[in-house]
Amino acid sequence: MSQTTESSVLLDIEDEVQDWRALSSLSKSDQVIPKRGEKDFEPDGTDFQSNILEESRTAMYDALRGARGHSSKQHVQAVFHQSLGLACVEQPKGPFFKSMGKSDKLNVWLTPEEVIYLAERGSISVLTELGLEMSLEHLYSCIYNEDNANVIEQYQVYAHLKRHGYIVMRHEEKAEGTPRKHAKQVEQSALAVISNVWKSLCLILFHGKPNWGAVGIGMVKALTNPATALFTPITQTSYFQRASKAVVHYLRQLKLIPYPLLHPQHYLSSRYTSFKQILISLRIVPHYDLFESHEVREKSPYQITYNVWKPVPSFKKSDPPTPDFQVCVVNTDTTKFPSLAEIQTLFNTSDYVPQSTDTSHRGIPNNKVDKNGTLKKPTTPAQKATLARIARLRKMDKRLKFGYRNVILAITNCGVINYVRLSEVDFSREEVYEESVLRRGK
Amino acid sequence: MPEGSTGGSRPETTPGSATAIPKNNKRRNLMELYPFPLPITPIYLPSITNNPLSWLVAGYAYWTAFPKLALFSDESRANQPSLTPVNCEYEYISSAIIFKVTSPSGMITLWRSGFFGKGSLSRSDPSWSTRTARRVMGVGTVLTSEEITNLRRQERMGFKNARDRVQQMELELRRLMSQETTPEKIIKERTAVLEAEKTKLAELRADLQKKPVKLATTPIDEEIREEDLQLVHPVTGELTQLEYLQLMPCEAVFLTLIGCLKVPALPTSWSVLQMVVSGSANCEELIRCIVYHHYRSLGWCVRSGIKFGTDFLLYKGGPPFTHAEHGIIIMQNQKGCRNTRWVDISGTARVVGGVKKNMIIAFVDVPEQDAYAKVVDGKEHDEVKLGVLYGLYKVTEVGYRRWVPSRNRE
Repeated sequence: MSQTTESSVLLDIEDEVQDWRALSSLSKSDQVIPKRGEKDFEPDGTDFQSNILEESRTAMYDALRGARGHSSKQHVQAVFHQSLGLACVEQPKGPFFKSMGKSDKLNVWLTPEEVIYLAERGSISVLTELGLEMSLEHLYSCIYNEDNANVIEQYQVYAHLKRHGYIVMRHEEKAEGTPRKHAKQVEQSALAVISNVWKSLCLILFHGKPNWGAVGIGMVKALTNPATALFTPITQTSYFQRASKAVVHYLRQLKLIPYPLLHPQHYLSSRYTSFKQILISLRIVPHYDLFESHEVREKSPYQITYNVWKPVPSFKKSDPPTPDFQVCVVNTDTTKFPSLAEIQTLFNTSDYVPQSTDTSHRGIPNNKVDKNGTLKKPTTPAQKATLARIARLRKMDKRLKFGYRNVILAITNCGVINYVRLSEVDFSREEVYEESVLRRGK
Repeated sequence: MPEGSTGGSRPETTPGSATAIPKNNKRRNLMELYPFPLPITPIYLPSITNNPLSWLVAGYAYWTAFPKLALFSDESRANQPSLTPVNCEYEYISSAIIFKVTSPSGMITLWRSGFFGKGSLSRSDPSWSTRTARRVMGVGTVLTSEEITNLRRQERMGFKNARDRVQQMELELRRLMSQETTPEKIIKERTAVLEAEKTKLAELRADLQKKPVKLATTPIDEEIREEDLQLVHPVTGELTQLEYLQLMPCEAVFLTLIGCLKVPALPTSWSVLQMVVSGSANCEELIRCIVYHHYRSLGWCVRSGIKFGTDFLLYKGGPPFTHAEHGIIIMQNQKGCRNTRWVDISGTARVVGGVKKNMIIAFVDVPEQDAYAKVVDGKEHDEVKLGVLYGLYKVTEVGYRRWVPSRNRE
């Protein structure tokens, strides 16, 4: 990649080396995102590269040289209460307290990670209960407690997310019974019942599902309970069974009734009028359904640690909205890769805004914008259909990529953090095959 | 410039089709070439109108027709539905089983409808005979995927060489500029030339991304050896087929199960399955068969994901339509059996993410050995057994995706 192309935006920004010259141009108040230029690989014998390096270095020093500090009016003091493991701020000042700490009537109480974060930033000074100034080392040693072995890892994740600008608060397990379920579509209308009955009838009659006999017998049994007693002795005899087998065999050879499913002859002897029917008949492997795992709750080392919000000015710490992300801090030294039950427990304890699980084919065709920025409206029905199709596929891709409920694992290894989003995906709800006239061939 | 490394061929697109919806034509062509996702064709009924007569016609068509196997004839692209399944041989090489389809029509059928198997002498689709016929006998104009890749690579090499030239010019100019003795006039001239070259390079680059691949008009000068000539039959002038289509065991099981494949020594899909599994409930090959079946039944085109460190790759239509979108990793959901290392999963996710695919962990619930043995030793028909056995397992998907704080804030 030698030039900035559109696709390079998708590449990892983190792996790039900072070009500090961007800073000096920013301070000159032109708000253009700096373009990444060509990379140099080796010295070319001129001072071109060293000049760039020098400029970048100067820009960095200029940026760092700027006086930082706060006025004495903004100075905040906190008192760390060892017994509570919390720090108390009597006179909270400054923008930090909009999204940090818990306020009671008089004071704001800060959790250990909030105190350390603010102290490391130089935004507060911390005193002991006796009124002595605490050093950072002292503070670190105070927050270490034996119940929570991952406290340092948790702080590292906290600070990392804060420095990226997120609003981070400790997750508190809510009382049981909060509804976090998926919004299930109401399907039990009278029409749906009728169509279901019709569908199963069709399946039994035409597609030779292996249990078609059982269904029939079950229906008869339900209707005429005493009569079955009369018939069972007859149906049980080996003569009857052999005879019925022979009849079935004969009928199958005449292609009047199909071979059962999974028989090599099945698809040549039963009547499927679309590919979708064939695919549905093949679905014999049980799969997870979105509505089923709500009860799975195990005691596990995986607990949600932090709620994370994107920075929004309207954020209120007394009444926070549903978090944008929920982070579970994991230490690779002590914790193994989660089992399915542990992952599902995490999903079940997460706060989830139920969204429509409707995966039907209706899609709003979004209008395409061409290079000149003018809207291109679909004119012909074919174009409209294509746009609708693209919209439907995009939605499907999004669901398969990001899932329904999700939790972020912050996997820490000796201070290095790798974030991973685990999400609840359900392929069985998506219809990837498209029945189309084009498929019919010529 | 992402390199199409998914084993997919990119057939020619018609130039000048860049109207409102450019991909449509390409899709239409592909749909005609690869109409069926499985080698079965359902009954397509004649259209039903308000005329009661059409109901009778449709009804008659419904009762007389049966789905067929989509067997293609080699020469024309018209499909001639057939009733005989594709023949498949198998052989043991040490302890491994190899499933081979050797008939040319069978190879084409299985590749064109569902993209099954891999050509033993090709990258994915069995194209050896096409390539060799052109090389040795000089016939045929259809480009194979290997040839397209080769041509693309040559084009890119050409571009890179041009870029190197421009960079060299730029460097020379820089050197001249740093020398104070250079006259102003020369620098100006050189700068103008360089700018012109740069615009040319940009055009070349744009061309590279748009231009369809074309077969070179002059045949590639390659020496034809004596062995090559021996491939051509002296009387009929036909090429001896050396290539066969190799199927994964799970593909062979699936295809016999839908009646499209016949392994002569093994009459039912159950016997094919018994051939490849070990006899324990958590046999990896059995679980692969089940997961393969699961995604095939949902309409995905499933192929091996070994190139990307995953068990399977899922394609929406198939390799020629799109790049694979999902990489599936199979994990058994058993208690007390967790030996996934963080390093392994992270490495796989990084690779899968790097080639712009989505990683899915498919957890499979495995039944107790007793329940498994009860089904296997049962006296039911083979097809009933197979259905019951597959019903003992269960697939649950979990998405695994790297999350980057700096890119999710807005």
